[in-house]
Amino acid sequence: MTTNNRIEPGNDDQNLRHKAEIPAPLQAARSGAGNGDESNGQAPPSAPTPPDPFSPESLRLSQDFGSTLGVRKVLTTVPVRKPHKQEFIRVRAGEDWRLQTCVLEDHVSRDTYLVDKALWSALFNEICRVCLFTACDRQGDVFLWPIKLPGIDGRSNIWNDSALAAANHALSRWIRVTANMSAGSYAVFEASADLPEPAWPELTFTQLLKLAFRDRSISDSSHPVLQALRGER
Amino acid sequence: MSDLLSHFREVWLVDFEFGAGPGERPEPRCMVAVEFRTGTKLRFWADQLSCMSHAPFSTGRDAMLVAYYASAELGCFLALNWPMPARVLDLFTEFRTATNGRPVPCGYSLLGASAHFGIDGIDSNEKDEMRKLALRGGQYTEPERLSLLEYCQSDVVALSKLLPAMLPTLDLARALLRGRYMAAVARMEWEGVPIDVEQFQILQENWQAIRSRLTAEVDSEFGVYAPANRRPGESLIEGPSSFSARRFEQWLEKQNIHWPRIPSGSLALDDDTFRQMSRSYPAVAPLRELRHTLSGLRLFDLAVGADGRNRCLLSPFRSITGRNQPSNARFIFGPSCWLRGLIRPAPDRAVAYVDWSQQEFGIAAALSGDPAMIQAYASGDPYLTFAKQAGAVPAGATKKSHCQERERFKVCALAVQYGMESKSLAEAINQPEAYARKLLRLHRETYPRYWDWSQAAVSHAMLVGWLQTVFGWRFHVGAKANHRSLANFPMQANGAEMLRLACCLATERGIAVCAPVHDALLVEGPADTIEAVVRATQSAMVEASRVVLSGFELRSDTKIVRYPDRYMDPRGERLWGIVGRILADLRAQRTGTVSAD
Repeated sequence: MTTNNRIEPGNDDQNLRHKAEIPAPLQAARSGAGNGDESNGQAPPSAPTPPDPFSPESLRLSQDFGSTLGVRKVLTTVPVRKPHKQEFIRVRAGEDWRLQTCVLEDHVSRDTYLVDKALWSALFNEICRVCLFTACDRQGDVFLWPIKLPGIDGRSNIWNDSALAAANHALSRWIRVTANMSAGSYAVFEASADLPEPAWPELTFTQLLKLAFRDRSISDSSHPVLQALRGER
Repeated sequence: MSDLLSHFREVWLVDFEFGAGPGERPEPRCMVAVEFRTGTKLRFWADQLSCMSHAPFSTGRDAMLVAYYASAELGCFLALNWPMPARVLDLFTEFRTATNGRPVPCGYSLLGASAHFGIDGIDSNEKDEMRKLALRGGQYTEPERLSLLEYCQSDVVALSKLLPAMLPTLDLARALLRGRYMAAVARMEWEGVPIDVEQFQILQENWQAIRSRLTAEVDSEFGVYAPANRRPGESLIEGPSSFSARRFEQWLEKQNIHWPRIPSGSLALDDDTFRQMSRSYPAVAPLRELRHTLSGLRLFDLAVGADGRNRCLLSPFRSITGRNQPSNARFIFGPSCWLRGLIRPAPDRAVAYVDWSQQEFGIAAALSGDPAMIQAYASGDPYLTFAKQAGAVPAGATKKSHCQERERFKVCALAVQYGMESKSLAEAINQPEAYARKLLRLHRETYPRYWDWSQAAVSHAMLVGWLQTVFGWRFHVGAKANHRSLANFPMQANGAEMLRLACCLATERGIAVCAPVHDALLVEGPADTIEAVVRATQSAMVEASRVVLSGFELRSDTKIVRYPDRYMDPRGERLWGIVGRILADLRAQRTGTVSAD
């Protein structure tokens, strides 16, 4: 048998040492001696209500870390791209969340440039008409989905038509879009699970557009991309 | 300070000296108690204490008992058959939560906590002298009794200085909840785990012979142990052997198992890797058990008392997440899984292992509020439902029809909570990294709200420097914090809160809880009424989950073992069988030898 004292002894208190005497008679010392929660009476009327470890519900602290600190995701970039063939996406409904415009695709860098309306006629051979749809994936990451519209000649293309149909489908359902090479069009797969509605960011479409084309907008003919097209340095 | 203490008519600083051999219950030697405000002092020797039917001071709701590592003091309450105090403030648990994650140069003893607050302690020579006297045991002379009482009193003096130092930052309401758990710990340490003592002794007596034969037997399927310093003609059974990484690599190649490597290119041979790979490749499990047994098992350290029960300090609040961290060597749930076969209820008794079903997944679902994750937990099989939600298996898939997919989605769902990335996940499921990336993407897409919440937890920690549980167990975070640990903290630490509350509820309702085990309780009762004990335990566990998860209830599973059966961890079943055969062989050999003689 060993004595198990895990606690380090503290500094000796001389006063306490000298006061250490034979204990007071038990009856006196035990005045109000307890036998658990049921005995020993209540706190005196003047005493505040003591904290109750037997009501843990009242002690619960929030685990909603985002709301307690006000941490929120800040959107700093908005890609302009097609949906990946494996991702489920939604398109935001409403005319306020789309834009018909002209873009220039740089096939070298694979970047898409927003072209100022004043340059459209001069660049009609280089640009294409698109509708930019506001879309997001299942992780809530927003992107602009550019879908080509019929050109000035009015000729359409089955790829573009099927992409537009897919975007319309994505207004109310989570879909996945993959290229069906043999059919020459996009195939749409709808999620069978009852997935929640997307949480759209608190930004206007104009703000999204600015983020998407912050460094990729062409507003005059001296833009480096146009210079490159003209064979200039 | 006065505001907090004004809740209580009396505040008693209490310390016991007691004796306790390995696996034994505490035997109080003396006690000193001092009322904090009046200085009223009580000093009693064991013979006086044993005459009392309850503590010689107020222990009701209007009084607070203050101790350092209160489970020890409360164990003495149980030894004396005193009712438990209603309000316990443990300055150890509060010092732990105040410094959890921060360096504590002087440690977590009372002396260390005092030093942390700049409070002087007695010099170490004096301490050692008094400790030797306390350790001696047996009969004490009157001067020795006085010395031990003085020694005990010196701890109370330290408490009287520590309490005012800690009060300004104390979250008293939640501190009392942690104190409540220390009473549950005392009750569980008092109860202990029933052990098949006869079998334990046989194992101890034959341990050396078992070790070498066990190696030979398990290695017959692997061929990864090589003779070490063996004399010519000596077989593997007779001589020493050592694990050969080269042979293991050859075995892995034959099995087509892609094993993780360390940066140098060598195979990762640590136990964590073996444990993780054993989950993915059950064929590896016996080898992992063997290695763990040979390297880590100190059979003679298992603490079994004279009444045949395993008892040791449960070491509450010792881990970062606040979980218990009992000694691996002393606790029956610490050593190799196969040794848990030693757990056996006495005649007419039964034990039950009651564990929460998919606790971590359930916690993540409830706390994040992710509707798809909640739906998955509610389905009863969250891993298969995850696969269905992600569109990876048909809606009609079952555990049987899509076993492999379910297992991969299960590993992914658990891995995500540990912040595992694609490379490690790929290794865990033995699939290309692209597949692992796809699984992680599916998880992000299926449970976006969980990901937002998890990221918010990490952001919170990095912004304010701490994370805390529903009951305020805090993890202080430095600049170099590991984001994976931070992301996992809410699940682990709230899981620990849940277990603590369940232990409180179960023990306070009179359930004999033998031990808490991560996400489970081992309870005991009469064989003919064990089902009622299980129902009461499950009710406590459901209640605990409801409180921690704000109304969300977690299910639990049960395994009942009645005498003469023994508890068996499925992971250790095979090795237990091998050990049994070895013992039978050894017995037969001895019998043969005796007969021949």
